[in-house]
Formats: sequence, structure tokens, C-alpha cells
Amino acid sequence: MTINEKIIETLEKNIDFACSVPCNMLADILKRIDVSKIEHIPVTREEEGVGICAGAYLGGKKPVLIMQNSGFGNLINALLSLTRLYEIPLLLFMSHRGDVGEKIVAQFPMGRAVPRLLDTLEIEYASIKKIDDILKIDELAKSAFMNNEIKAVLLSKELWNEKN
Amino acid sequence: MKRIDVIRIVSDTAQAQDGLIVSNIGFPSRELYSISDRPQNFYMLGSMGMASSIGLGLSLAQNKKVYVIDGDGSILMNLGSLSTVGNYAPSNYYLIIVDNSAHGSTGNQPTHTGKKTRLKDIAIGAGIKKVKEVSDEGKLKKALLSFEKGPLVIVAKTDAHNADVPIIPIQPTSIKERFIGSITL
Repeated sequence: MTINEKIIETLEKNIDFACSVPCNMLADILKRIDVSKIEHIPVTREEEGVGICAGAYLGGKKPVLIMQNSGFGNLINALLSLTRLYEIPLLLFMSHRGDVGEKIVAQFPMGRAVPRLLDTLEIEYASIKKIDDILKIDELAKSAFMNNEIKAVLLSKELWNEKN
Repeated sequence: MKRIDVIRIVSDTAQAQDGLIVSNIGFPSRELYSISDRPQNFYMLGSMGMASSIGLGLSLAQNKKVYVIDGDGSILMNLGSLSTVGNYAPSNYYLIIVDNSAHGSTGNQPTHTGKKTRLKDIAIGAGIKKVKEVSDEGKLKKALLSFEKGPLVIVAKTDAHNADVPIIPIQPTSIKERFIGSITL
């Protein structure tokens, strides 16, 4: 099983609704989401995805928001004054640009800031760097829906460089 | 027509249709609460601009009719939402934009809809087929009743006016829990 197959399998076990804003690092995963059991709504901006995911949860779905970490700056108000205020669960599934192996300078500022922003906002997260870390996606997703909390995963470029 | 007149009509329609309401931050939610507080009302207390998106997620996830009470200032903050609605909204989605050409909850600062911007044209351009603009109560009622299936967007032109209504005294988690309970009953 490839890394992305394993990720989709993990998401399908925990999630039945996804909103996404695209990222090149996640292009293959997004294609696979479209043919998975997960209902997928591509959105125009990250904050909009937070709103749709919250509504989907109220209607009985288990949502994930798939995005690039650079978009994290676009969603913080809604994430706190909607998702957290009402204690709505959400998994944030983010690529981690501006980290190891990054070639685009514009990615560095948010790449550096996002882990610290997550700490500041008291959002539990995991960095996914090797195939064994995919288990953490499963754990955090389960914890999000068990505790009505926001959890996040940051997928590192190293994950796909790993020989397996 | 004032905003509270629009909200009264939407609330009556939602009750008659066993529908859900998502109401915008500030005075829209407070006015709805003062007219008719029901578990089926989701009062959006924060997340400025997100009402149309919350309603979209809700309409995709369950079968009851969803009535979103949004505003011109709010929809202008999340215009991408109309594009997602135009492409993905199911038939149980009803978006009512109270267009008073003002940011009512923050002191009636003017919005662009009092100048050159036309929300009806934007909604049509976003791919929404059923779009109505109304400016009196009779036409609003007719527009709400004449479409058994959405997605429908109504732009309701009103005066800029806030009713003298209290702040909603319900905890956010209680709003959520009773709302979810009203769907799963």
C-alpha cells in the first residue's frame, strides 16, 4: 500500500465529509478523495471551508478541511469564534510548505509561523514525516470527534521522500 | 420594509416547512431570537461572514430545508461562498440576503450595494439559477413559497434599521446541542 493509499484509508475510517483548498503537495490525495467514500466540496478559501465543515457537523457529518498551511492565516477568526466557541470537532489536514526541501521563498514565513500559531491557539497537532506517523492522523481524528475539539496534522515533504 | 420584517417572514416560513434557520451575527440573530426562539435556530454569534457557508454544509449533510438569514455586508465578505453555492448547493438550500446597504450591527456604515454593486447579478453570475430581488413583504412571501426546490437566493431590499432587541442569553454549546437535537428528532 502506498503512503497516499494509507492516508486515504485512515481518513475514510474517521471522516465522511471534506472541504479543500488545493495544494500541489496534496494533489494526488485530492484526486483520491474524489473517488473515495468521503463527500468532497472544493471551496474558494480556507475560512469558507471552516464554515461549511461546521454546518456539515451540525447536520451529522464528520468533517476534515484539507489545505496548505499558508492558508492557515485565512481562517483563524472563524476557527475560534465558530468551531471552538460552539465546541465543534474538526480535523485540519495541512501540507507543511516552507519547511524541509522548500524552494519557494514566499512559503518560508508561514511555514515557520504555523507550528507556533497552532501552539498559541492551543490546537493539538502532529507533524507527519514518516509512514508510521500516519497512525497519528488516526489518533488525532478520533480524539477530535470524541472530545469535540479542533486537531491538526502537518504533512511534511519528508513523508513522500521516505523509502518504504 | 425593515430587516425584522424579513426575519419574521423567514421564521414563519421555516416553521411551516419544518425547516432550520442559520442567522447572521449581531442584530439579525438577536431580532430572530426576539421574534421566535426555537431549537431549530442556529444563532451565529461570531465568525463574521460565515452564515451562508454554515448553511451550505448543513444543507449538504441532512434533508430538512435550510434558511440562511445573511446580510449584504456579510455576503460581500465571503463572496466565494456564492460560487460554491452555485456549484454545490442542494435543493434544500435557501439563502435570504437582507440588503440594507449598511453594516447594520456596527453602526450602519454604508456598503457597496448602496453604490454600484448588485448582489442579484453576482448571485446569477456565480451560477445560481433561482435568484429573486424583492422590496416588499408580499413579494418576499411569494418568492419563498413559489420555489418548492432550491437552491434559491433572495435579495431582500430593506431600510437600514436595528430593532430594540436584547442580547441572546443562551450559551453557544446549548445553541449547538439543542439545534442538533432538533434535527435528529
